[in-house]
Amino acid sequence: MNKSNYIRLFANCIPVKGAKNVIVCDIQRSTYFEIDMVLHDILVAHSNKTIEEIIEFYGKEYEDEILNQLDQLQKEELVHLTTENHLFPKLDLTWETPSVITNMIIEHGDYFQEKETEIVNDLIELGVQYLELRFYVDVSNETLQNILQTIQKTKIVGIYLVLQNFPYEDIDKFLIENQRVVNILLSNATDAEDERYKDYNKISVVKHKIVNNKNCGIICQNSFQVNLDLFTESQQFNSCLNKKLSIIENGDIKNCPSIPEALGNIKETTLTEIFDSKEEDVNKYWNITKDQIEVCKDCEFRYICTDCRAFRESDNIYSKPLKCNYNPYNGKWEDNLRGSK
Amino acid sequence: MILIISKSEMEDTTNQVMDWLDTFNGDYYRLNGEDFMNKADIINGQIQFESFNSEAITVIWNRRWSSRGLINFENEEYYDALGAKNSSTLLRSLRQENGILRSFLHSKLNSKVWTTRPEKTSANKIKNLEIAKSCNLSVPEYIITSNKYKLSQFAKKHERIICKPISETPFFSSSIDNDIVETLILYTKSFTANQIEEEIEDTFFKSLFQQQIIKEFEIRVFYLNDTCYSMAIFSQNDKQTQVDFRNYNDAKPNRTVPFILPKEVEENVKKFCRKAEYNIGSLDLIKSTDGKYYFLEINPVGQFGMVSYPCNYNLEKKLAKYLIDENKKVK
Amino acid sequence: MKTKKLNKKGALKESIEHLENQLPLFFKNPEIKEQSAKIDVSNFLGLDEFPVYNSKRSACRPCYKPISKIHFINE
Repeated sequence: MNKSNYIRLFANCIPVKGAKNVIVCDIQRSTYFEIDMVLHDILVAHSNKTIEEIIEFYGKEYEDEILNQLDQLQKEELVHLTTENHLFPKLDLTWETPSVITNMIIEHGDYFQEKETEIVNDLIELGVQYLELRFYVDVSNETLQNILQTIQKTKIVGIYLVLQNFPYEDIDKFLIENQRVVNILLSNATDAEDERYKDYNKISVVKHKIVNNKNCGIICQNSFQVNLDLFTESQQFNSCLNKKLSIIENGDIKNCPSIPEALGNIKETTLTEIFDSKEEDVNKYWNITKDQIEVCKDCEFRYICTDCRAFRESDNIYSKPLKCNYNPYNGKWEDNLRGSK
Repeated sequence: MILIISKSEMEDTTNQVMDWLDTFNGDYYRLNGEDFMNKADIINGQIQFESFNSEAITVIWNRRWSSRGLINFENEEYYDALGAKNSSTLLRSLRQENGILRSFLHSKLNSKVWTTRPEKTSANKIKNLEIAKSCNLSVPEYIITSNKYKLSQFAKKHERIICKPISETPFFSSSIDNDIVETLILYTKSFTANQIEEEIEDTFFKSLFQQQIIKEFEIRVFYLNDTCYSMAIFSQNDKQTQVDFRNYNDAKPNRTVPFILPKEVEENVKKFCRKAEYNIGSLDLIKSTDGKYYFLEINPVGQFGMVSYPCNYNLEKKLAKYLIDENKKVK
Repeated sequence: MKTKKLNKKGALKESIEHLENQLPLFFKNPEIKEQSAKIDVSNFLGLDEFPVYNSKRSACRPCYKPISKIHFINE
């Protein structure tokens, strides 16, 4: 290792410091690595020192250890050596979208058929890209097919279905004909259904029945996403509620189904109208970042997890999500999760 | 009105630019080449096609033309039955027909502001290398020859040389079973002077050979409106991507990170684009282990999503803004 | 429905090799890659028509983050 070089983290390997632990988020390869605080300092605080100068700073007796650690980082391809530090800038962490609303949760209800045209116009107008469509009761194949066909007129690129039943014989045919459906959560499932769909990555089967919106808000390692979009969005916006809107079963329009306040009802107004007239209420939660939330602000996972403002530890709008049992002060996931399993 | 000339399939970048144009309340029309060929009429010298009005157009983003080749799996056997010679004649005839119609459209839009004028969409690599040299950019030494002796002499001057197409790399595929397709991969190949002596026949078709530049890393630059957006690609560490980074390693993709060209190199790149008359384009450069920056080529209608996303440059938004601003200027 | 015309395995490479002398040197020693054209329906990243963009086929994609965080309460 040429010690007159600088050691540079690749711009898409971004260190995030928590109270106890530090991780490097590899947003290109969608993974993260835990590193120790000293290594973090070398990479961040001393990023404008050559390797030679770093060794001098810590003392010659640490040379082997330091070179060893840097060698490991090189093997994992988290860093590169260069003499031209200044030509490798950090990643710009600005998040921008052309959409007014990026994602929606729609709980199907009686209102839907009547208001379908207006809803579709809203979806196009607001530039919605991702949709979670929930059914709390059984749906017929006709109804589902009609809805999916209507959604084809919009800019939505990914549809997540939450179903109580799967109303088609041929799942392969359904998936091929409805490519925008990227995932199906089939709840209230029988053993037979569990068996039938077990090899499909796009289908998750659970035996429990989802009856309402209380079953949301869990934060766990499985739902961490390490990517540029979430990482940058988390810097300045709420990683769950930003540019999200939902319509619940009775037609009420809310930020998300689990938040009590309704902004209006789809039977009396449109999403665009709500956005235009009640902009402040609509985006009330949008700018609450993890860096402002109690406990989360000290957590190394704060830019790869998605927040929850609906279920909080207290009334304080900046309090920690209720359903997260990670303690960033000791780096442990606690056993008994408050709220649910 | 802004005109987007694109193709109807697999053009997500066009969709994204349209999203930004919508956000900016841009006045635009998307024309897909295949739709024009299938549905437009030319009556008394006027183009009649849905709501397309060539008079109203001010600025044109010349992005793509058509998704479909002339031969698909439905008609391939008939072309085979015709035989190679007659197929070639038929294809040439169809291409000429298509070409004339397409250039009629271009002539109707001749006075408009084009991001890339039609005659410039296919870059002449050799001409561009010479223009780059005149702008003080380092370029790899090259020879185009069919003479083994001359090639040998050239090879001896360099540690290694590479052979690549003078224009685009052709793509070949063949269905060998119901679900299996064979594709022929032609990657850039590397030779030493000895290998030239021992492995190359005495006669071969004229080919382009270049000095192989030993890479520290590669650079992809997106040039738009006198601004360079650069990205460094670390393909050196991976044997699979060492010579040709398009031999993608999907398991562990090459590191792609934002990069700032040294001032002088960036100035020369801009000089090149102005001299060669490109408003927009994707340039390939190499930072060599010898410390120099080598210009390889420019693709005026190149992909920029692969620079935009990893570096978070949001080039789609910048391009939309550029089109809106150019449109305002014309008015 | 018309069936696809099938070719002999290796014929593509063989033909190019026969023509080698008349081709530029970058055609020399081509590699063959075999790919399955079979659609793995459960994993396939889909394409759909997007009339809103005047596009016959554009990519579908999953969201970069979970839209919701559904979980199950044990009875």
